[in-house]
Amino acid sequence: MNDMIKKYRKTVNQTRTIVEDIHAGEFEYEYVIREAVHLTLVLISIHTSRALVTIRVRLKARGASANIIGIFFGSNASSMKLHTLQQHEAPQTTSNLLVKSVLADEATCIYDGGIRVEVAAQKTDAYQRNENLILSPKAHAETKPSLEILANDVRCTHGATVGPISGDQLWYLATRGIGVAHGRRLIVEGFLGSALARVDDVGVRNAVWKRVARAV
Amino acid sequence: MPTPRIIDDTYKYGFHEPEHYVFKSKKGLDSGIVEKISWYKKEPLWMREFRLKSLRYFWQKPLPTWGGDLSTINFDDIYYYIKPTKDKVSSWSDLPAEIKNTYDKIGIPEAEKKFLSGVSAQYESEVVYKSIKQMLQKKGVIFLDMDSGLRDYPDLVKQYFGTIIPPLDNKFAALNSAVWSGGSFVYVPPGVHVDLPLQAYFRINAANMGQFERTLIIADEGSYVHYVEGCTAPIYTTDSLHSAVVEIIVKKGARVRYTTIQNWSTNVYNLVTKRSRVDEEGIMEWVDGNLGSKLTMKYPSVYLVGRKARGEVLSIAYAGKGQHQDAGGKMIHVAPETTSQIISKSVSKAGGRTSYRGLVQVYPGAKKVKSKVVCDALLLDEASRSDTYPTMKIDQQDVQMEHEATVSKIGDEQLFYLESRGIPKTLAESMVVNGFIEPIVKELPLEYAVEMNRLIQLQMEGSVG
Repeated sequence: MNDMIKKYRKTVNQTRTIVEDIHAGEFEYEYVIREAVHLTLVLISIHTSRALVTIRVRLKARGASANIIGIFFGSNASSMKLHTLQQHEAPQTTSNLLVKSVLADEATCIYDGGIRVEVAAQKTDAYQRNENLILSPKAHAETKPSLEILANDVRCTHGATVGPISGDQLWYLATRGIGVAHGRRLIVEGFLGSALARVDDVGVRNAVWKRVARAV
Repeated sequence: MPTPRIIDDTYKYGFHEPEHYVFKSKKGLDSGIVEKISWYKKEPLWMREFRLKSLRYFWQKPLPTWGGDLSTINFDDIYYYIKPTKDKVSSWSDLPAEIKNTYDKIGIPEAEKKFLSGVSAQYESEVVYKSIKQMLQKKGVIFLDMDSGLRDYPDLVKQYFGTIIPPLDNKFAALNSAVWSGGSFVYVPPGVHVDLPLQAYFRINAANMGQFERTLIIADEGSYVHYVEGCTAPIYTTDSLHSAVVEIIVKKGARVRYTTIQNWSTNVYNLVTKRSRVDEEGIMEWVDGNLGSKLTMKYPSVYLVGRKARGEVLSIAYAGKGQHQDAGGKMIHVAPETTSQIISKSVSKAGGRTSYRGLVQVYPGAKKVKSKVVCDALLLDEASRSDTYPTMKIDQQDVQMEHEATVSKIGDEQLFYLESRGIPKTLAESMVVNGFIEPIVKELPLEYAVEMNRLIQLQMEGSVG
């Protein structure tokens, strides 16, 4: 059953927030966003053993916008392979993607993200950012953000970081009487929390936050 | 008001001197031609076998399926070796008139008058003109063309040749290994600091003439050298192929800077493999400017194998009508505390396409690595295209890795501001573009920086943003 690719295709006709829980297996999600509609998409995956996920967000009509937030917490041998595509097909569209992963034990996160701006999609704003916090020497992160821009009146930016918890931060917390274990937890919470802060819907934000806090 | 003509379609150095060759191989490639090249150069047996082995690899290896379109290269329609004049000449006045004429047009005499420490000018496949100042010889620095290097220092060449880029590396490295000719051989002894940049000029001057130069630079412990490779080529109606291999060895505490300004005419395929290996506390810097050619695929690489080694790539690409610049850099962190930086700036205009393609890899055990990649692209019109394909593979916890890329057009506010100060639009645009590439241009030797700004000015005239 796990070997089958599960495909979902959703047309977004009105502004809304969607939360997708990523479980083990292979998935393909496609979202088609209509004129002047705003989609907030939250992807969450906690301790998932092995997942291969493709997310395609198509900004199909003028004024469509998307805010994509990914939160992954990997432990043991969990592996997350995520491919995202922000596809701008119409003018004046905006997309903003932030994927954050925290990798403990032997967890792996392989992120491959694309922004494609078609010729017709002038006045596009597209952002993409992938940040990986590595907690153990055996964790592994690969990140491959790419841009393909065919229109000229656009603003596209992407960025990626991979790094451990900074010794300076832990030291700072220690000088305030916070132990290493507690300090690490605060830093991980802050790292993921700043991504969640981008979710406008307070109800959704709190619900997701509860699950993240429990996992951390 | 009449607007200035777009200059792109007329190549500034598009002149063509009559050909006078002593020896010209027939078109196409087989083991007979490879043997003939080796025989003609009176090479040792190991080099002949190296060439023949490489030729077999070339036939075995498939063409890359990524990057630019390589399907239109006809390998059977290329001259693989041409020997232009009988002997090498040591002074400027001994050069044949038409070769001298060619160099006069690209301004070498002026450059020579300035602070060049040695000129190794490659006309066709063979180095025909060389002058090394006394200073270099006194310091024990070897600066020769590769053929002479092989003849005069066979042991040194045999020890390092093909060790950084083996023939099996890729199809074009194999091709170069089979038919290479010319290029430079540089050895800098321990502790020697070469103050002035070493320069070599390359030209292609026969239709369908492949240029397969091979450069090997060895910087011994604690030494410093700056090598400058400048290319301009005359224009032809049929496609030409340029496929070089550059290998650089940076030993403990040494520093090498390698600067390239590539301005091939827009029918040349420029498929080059450049790689360096850096030992403990050594520094390797690639400054790579790609303005010409039909298609360039070039990713200067640094293998950081010694503790605290550092690698840098500064890359500028400009793609005009019909051009595709697929350039970037690779940083392979094998040792701990190694650092790297890649800065790439690209400009696409009139339907041109620029791609940044890069890799940062951190092997297990390479602790406290720091790496930063910044790519900025400017798109000047609706027909142009810009891509960014970075890859980061991290197998180590204690690593700081950053990547940033931005693609945009020239800001309307910037143009409006300049125009409100009475600056015409075309001039304002070229000012913005020159400002955009400024951080890299300022790293170039003076005469190249001046030439670069002039070229950008030339390319920008009459463009509509």
